[in-house]
Amino acid sequence: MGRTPPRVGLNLIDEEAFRVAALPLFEAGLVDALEVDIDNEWGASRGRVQPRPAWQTELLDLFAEDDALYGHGVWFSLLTARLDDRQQRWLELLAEECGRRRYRHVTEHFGWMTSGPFIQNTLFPMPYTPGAVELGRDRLGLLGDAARCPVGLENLASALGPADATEQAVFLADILAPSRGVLLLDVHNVWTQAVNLGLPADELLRGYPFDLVREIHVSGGSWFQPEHAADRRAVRMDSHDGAMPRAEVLPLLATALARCDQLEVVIYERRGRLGTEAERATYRDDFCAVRAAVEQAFAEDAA
Amino acid sequence: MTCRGLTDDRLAALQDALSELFYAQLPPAEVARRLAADPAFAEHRAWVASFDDRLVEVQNATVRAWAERRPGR
Repeated sequence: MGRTPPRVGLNLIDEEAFRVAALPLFEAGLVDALEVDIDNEWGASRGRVQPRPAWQTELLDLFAEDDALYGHGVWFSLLTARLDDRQQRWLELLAEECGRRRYRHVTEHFGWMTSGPFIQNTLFPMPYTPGAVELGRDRLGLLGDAARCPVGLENLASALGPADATEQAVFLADILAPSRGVLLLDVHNVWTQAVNLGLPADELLRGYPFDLVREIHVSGGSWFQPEHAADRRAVRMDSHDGAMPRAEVLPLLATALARCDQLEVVIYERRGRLGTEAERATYRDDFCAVRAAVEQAFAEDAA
Repeated sequence: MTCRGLTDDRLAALQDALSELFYAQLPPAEVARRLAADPAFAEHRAWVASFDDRLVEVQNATVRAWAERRPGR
């Protein structure tokens, strides 16, 4: 018997341009699932809740009723070694939101951004040590206690050195496996680390614990041009503000699709630069390319 | 709310030191020099010694965009 094909969905972006770009996909019935940055209303504003527009809450309620809503955290800062009041408040608000709507699962980013003197920051990687694994398991438990649904982690795109890429898969497995936490595998993030560090992307991808993957992210990004480093080669950023690099990312998606037996959803995420009709058309084409890749992978599976 | 969650003071010290280092917006060569010499990074010397200059520069740029210090600290 073949595997059940995953849903294919979109990450809901809090921008009017997203609504305009994505509306034809919703109207055509092509969006099976919705992922939302669950802390959009309180994450950046340190707990002062800023309500969503009505069109967003209606979509969230609709997908929650269909049991096809997925939550994704941005601001918790999972591996912060000393939690602060902001993070405690974040957990309270997560519990409230998960009591309000039904989520299939909730994920957060791997890494950390909050530390003693800093309320927020960009995401940093963490060295892979037993202490960091213990910290990760503890924080995953806090997430689960608050969300009261399956919880998990997304592999990080940023890296400062090779170990942040080569050790990430086993680091995540060590944290997630004991509680069967959800691995959100972002294939653009894997490619970003590979291209920035001169590593083989396919080999990096194959190191991940596919049995824990319940969600895949596919996205785009942009390039950063270094000006001070001796090596001036451009650096890939997982900024979600550009089209999906299909030639690089779709083969990685196919590799993952063939191996993830517990996969239930594939999400396309893209933000910013959706102001022109050409950009919006590219957004929709990218989503359809992801959908086609999923359909092809599971048609081959059923054959 | 009661403050829950494990605390790891050594990892917290590493995070504080890294945050401060990147917040200072130093050129990659100076970041590398401090990573090599600062006792705050002694436990993780192999990790910090492997940092790539280009990736340090990107981290500097994103820290510039996102970092927010607590008032008075």
